Amino acid sequence: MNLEEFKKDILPIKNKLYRMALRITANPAEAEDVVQEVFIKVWENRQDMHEVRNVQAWCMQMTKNRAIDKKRLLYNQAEGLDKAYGLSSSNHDPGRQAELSDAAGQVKELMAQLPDNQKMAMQLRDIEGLSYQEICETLDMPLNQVKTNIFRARKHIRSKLLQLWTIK
Amino acid sequence: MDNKVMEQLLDKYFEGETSLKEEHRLRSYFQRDDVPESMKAYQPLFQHFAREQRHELGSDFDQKLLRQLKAGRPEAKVRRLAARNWAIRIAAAVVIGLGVWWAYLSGGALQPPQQAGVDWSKYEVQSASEAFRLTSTALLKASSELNHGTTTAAREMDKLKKVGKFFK
Repeated sequence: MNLEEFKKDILPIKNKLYRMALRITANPAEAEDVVQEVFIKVWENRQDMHEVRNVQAWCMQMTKNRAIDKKRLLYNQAEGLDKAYGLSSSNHDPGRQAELSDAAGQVKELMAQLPDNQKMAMQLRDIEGLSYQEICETLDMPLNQVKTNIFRARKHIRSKLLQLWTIK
Repeated sequence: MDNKVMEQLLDKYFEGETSLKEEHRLRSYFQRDDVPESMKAYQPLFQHFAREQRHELGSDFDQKLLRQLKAGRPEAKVRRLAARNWAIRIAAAVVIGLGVWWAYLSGGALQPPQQAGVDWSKYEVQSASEAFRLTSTALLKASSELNHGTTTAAREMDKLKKVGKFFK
């Protein structure tokens, strides 16, 4: 793979990788770092990339793993600071409260409350528009499990949306 | 008519049976302002999906990445840290080397000073009468120390007896 092929075949998936990393880390700068690290890894292993059947799924899987590591690191650092300064990481942030007060914020929160596998599967399908097969490869999960996760996630979100709508 | 079809499509979506094309159609539909009341509860969900798709990396990311790839091994954070570690190691080696060199140069100064020998001959006992006098003096000194010890012990015993009375 030369630089032109890299630009043509790999670089266009940057936004999918970025969104996935962003959803996990919730930090734009860290998400950008993750994507950069993944692309550098691809470039360093460009001689062996022909052995990878689905480069996009491979990149997404690596992005997911690296983003989870970063999130863990950020979480540990934040916990350390919270403990040091006697803060709690609850939802007392005024910005967060304001976000939750509108419908978009509520949907975001509902999605965030889903179990990780359901959340990832639903996001890959509904935001990234991946096929079931691509989701299987990205999450390293059998097809029936992917479908079950998406079905359960949507069912849960539907019932919660109806509840919210009834309350209004 | 369109709304009826959309309601059916929505049910199909929540059953997890829609195709990617149908899901794209649903996302487009819910961007409209005239969504009927019966489906309004779901509008924030599809608007959330559309909004999430807008998170993207700018062209400056491409330029920065490609510049790094062209330059060979990119300047990563880890690499900068590694370089700093090497600098610390080299600095430590230089400091140790200078210390050893200084100790070698000032070796003479570090030697303990030569002490003049003690002439013990002048303390030697010269006669039997002198030996008797010295021995008597030493025994008297020891005897007085022993008496002093006995007096102190007796005084401490008295104190203990007084304290013991309170606990009877």
